[in-house]
Amino acid sequence: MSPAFPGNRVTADVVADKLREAIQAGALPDGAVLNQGALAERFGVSTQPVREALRQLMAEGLIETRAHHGSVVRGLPIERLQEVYDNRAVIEGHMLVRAIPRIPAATIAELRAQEAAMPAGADVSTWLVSTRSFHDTLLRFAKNQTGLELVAQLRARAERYVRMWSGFGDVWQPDLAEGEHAAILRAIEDGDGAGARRLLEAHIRDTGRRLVELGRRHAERAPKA
Amino acid sequence: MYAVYMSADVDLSVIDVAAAQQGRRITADYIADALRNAINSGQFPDGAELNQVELAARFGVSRVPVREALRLLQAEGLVDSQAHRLVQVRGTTPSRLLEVFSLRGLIEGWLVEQAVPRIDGATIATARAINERLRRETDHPAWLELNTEFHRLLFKAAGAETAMELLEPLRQRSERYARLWSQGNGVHRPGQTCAEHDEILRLIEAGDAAGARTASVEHVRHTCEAVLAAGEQLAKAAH
Repeated sequence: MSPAFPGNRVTADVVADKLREAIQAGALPDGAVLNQGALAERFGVSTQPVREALRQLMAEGLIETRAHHGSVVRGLPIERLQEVYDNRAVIEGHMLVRAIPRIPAATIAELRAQEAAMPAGADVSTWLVSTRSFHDTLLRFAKNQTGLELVAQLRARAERYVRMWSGFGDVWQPDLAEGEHAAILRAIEDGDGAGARRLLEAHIRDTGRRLVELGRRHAERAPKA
Repeated sequence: MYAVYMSADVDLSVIDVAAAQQGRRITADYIADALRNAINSGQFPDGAELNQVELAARFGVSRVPVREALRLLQAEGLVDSQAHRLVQVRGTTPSRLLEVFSLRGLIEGWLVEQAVPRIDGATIATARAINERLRRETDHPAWLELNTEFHRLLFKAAGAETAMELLEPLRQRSERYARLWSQGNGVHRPGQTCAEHDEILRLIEAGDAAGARTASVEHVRHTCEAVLAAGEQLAKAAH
């Protein structure tokens, strides 16, 4: 969290952005108490923009209020985590079908090059950026802003766990994801909309399953702090 | 955005201050609730400016909780905030509304599909009883509330909180236009709606998850068509 403020942004937005980043990066664990006074001091602002920022994050489902604690980082129970990915699968599948007729061949080629340029053993952040770009590039052609917003919201709830648990080995199983991405691109190229949708949905649901599996292992290995 | 809905005059008296003051002190939550109700019930048109100073005066509070409430509504997608904190009720183009409805159908269909293996006989019986009340209900606002109750009951059986959270703002945004474009009355097609509810319940009871999902998606699509048609008619009438 840096207290540097670009002049033309509303302070509450900047505070919300910084907090969101910290939550998504896993820097603030589940249940971390977000004390208004301490945050205001940290950011060098009054409590008013901090309160506004906390409202914003609450509406985004990232924090919740708890009696006697104020705002805390909202933890996602592991069974909810699969639901997040199941929902993403449904929404992204729906969007992909609408996107396919508008996806140019050049975009497919670019995505392939991007996947190929991914160094073996890339760290989790690099992978997250790459996979996000893969999905968003395809989905943008659906011209469905509301859908993109929902996907971003779902992603924001789950990504922090990918980062937090990444210390526990074969997190993202990059090779597996790469193969799945390649298969999706082939189906799009073949004009097989239904097939591409099925593959994308399965890819997202399986990603959720892999993450849940990782979370279970993490819970076994890491005793409660 | 249909130009006819872009009235700049906002009558703040439509806000139910008494409801907001209910209980104890006025907090940002109460203000947000009152404004959300006014927006979703179609009392504020698209583009209506929500002035912080006027709202604070109306609620008899400082601007602090008003700003917090507006921030919450912004995050929910109900208002847009421009530079200098000009806050306006967010407008929805017909194509955006179509997006909202199609995503709503998608999530509702998925929820019903998830509900099929989990729902019990008592819940189905309750849903059927609500549908019978819907058949007889003539007061439109009451009808809309019952209709929401019917659907929530089925969705809840899915046990999928995240989907419910995603769905709620989509339902609110689409209901707002159902009310706005039918000039306060809501797009009303009770006979057809109840028949579609019967069919959804029949499929759920038969354990046909895929069928219940398809029927639910279609159900939302029919509502969407009716709402968009009402909007078009209103736009035509204005010209």
